[in-house]
Amino acid sequence: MSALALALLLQSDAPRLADERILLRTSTGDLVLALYPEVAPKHVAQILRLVRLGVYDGMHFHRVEPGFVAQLSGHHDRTAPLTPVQSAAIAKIPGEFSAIRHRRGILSMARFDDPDSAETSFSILLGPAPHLDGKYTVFGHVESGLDVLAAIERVDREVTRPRSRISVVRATVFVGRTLLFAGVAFVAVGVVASFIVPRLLHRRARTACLLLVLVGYFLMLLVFVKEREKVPAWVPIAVFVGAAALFRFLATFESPAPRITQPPP
Amino acid sequence: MTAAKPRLYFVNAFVDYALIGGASIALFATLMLVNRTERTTEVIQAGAILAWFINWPHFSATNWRLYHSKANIAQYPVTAIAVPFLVLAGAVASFGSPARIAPCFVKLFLLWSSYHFCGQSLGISLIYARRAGFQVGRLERLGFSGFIFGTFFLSTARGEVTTSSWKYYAVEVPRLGLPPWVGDWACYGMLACGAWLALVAVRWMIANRRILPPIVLLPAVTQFVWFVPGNSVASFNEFVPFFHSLQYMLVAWSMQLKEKMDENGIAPSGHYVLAESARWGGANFVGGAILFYVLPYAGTLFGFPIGVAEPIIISAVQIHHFFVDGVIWKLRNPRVGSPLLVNIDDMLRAPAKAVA
Repeated sequence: MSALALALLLQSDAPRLADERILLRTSTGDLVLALYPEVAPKHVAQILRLVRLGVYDGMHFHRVEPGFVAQLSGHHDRTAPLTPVQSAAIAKIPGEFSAIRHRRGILSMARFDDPDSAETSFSILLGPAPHLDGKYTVFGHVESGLDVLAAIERVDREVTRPRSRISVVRATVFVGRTLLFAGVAFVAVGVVASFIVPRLLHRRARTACLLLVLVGYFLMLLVFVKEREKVPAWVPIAVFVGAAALFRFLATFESPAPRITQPPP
Repeated sequence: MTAAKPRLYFVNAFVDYALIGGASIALFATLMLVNRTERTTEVIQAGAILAWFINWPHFSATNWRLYHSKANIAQYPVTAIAVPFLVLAGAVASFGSPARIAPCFVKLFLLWSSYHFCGQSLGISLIYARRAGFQVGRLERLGFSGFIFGTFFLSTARGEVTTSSWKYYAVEVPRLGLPPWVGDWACYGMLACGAWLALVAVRWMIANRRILPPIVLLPAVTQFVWFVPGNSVASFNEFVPFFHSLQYMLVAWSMQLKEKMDENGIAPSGHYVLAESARWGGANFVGGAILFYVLPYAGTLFGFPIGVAEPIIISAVQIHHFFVDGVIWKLRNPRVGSPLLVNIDDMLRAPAKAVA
């Protein structure tokens, strides 16, 4: 977890994060962006939609000012032209200004003079910028990849323009930790309860625990499938072994069967 | 009073050896000999015809066993009542999100399916072990389970090396992206357990001074042929579900005949066997057609393309089958364990009266 994320969590008025995260795969490294749907609902909705449509693929950081911002170019500066569907999805977003301060790691939407003119371009703050507070829409923060941000900040530049292109190779949306936590919690509670419950309750209560484990595993599978290309090697092994353990566990479903007396001969 | 010694076969040596695995091994050998390993149109058509007559009815037979009596439903209420709702929820969620949830739903079914095949092979091995008087203790069970489930680990691990997806009908099914060494280690484990199983079999033969009937080991060997050498033969793969169902139908058919006879006090006769077999087989044929033909097409009535409806319905039906199959064949239940040791002669002829 980044220092910024920790600081935000410690704040009593820390904004609620969306379940979705954006993985910004850049030519310098990966950045994971967390979003504030309650602070800037329209911005978050539009950015998620555009990322899913692939609008951000091929954009680049056209402006880097150490200690201030790294700004992502707008959709006019992509490597490939927009498709009609992508073009149709881009709309001007009205400003959603808040009291959240501009500081390192914050995502701030770029706009023209008109406060309601934001479309696709946004900046990642590289340092505090109090003069932007309340004037530009803050819609999220960098959750992980601050080392990548530091590398972007150090890039060789011509005034503010990087000499070598820092491209967004691919931007994708993935579901964040809520679903994962729910899955882990279901599995943990189900496994533990299935060992404890039979001593306390009817065998059917244990069976219900097994169903909980199955649902939990399925939730984790959903998260894994979405992120399987960027997880460490032990995770797919755990998913695979977990599946076998789950099926073995489910073999005890509604078991042991009650003793049925043999009919008299 | 001593219990009668169970006979080795459900029907006779020829039928049991053929249905439990001999026919599938013979087909595999034939396909390899004549070098017909491609999944041609003829192979697909043959597989589809066999699915109608054996594979689909075997799913129906499971449901029949659970749902045809109130006593069974009362014994397994979670499986009979709660599980269908859970599976239905999974199917509805998959229809609601064909790109996100459906692939995982199908993936769960596919992973579980391979495991389920192994579970059945183990179960049938244990039935024949009991029939042959081969005591299965912890060490023997380790050999059987390790070798049979080793085929699951090996075949699955080898198929899940990449992260690329593949299409099951119109659903993009993800692969796990396992490191290749997982398959290698699964192979070593499987071979070690296979060697151990051979060792305990030899030990038993020396101790009992008789040959262990090969049918005790046949399900394990068959499982190996299906999942290891047969796994890379596309034409053979098309028939593996059929052979799995064939094993199942032999056992389920014997159970049905015996249970119905006992419950209704029917006298053994050839007429009874023929009539009940036709009735049970016909009902399961219709049941299978409803599960795998009618239901997917019903899904299209809600506007879903058949390429999406079919895999989701198939997954739901099979996941439900895995649950049901897991509870209705527990050997510890004497109501199940006893009829599993019958022979067709018990249903054809009245037993000879014992001489005092």
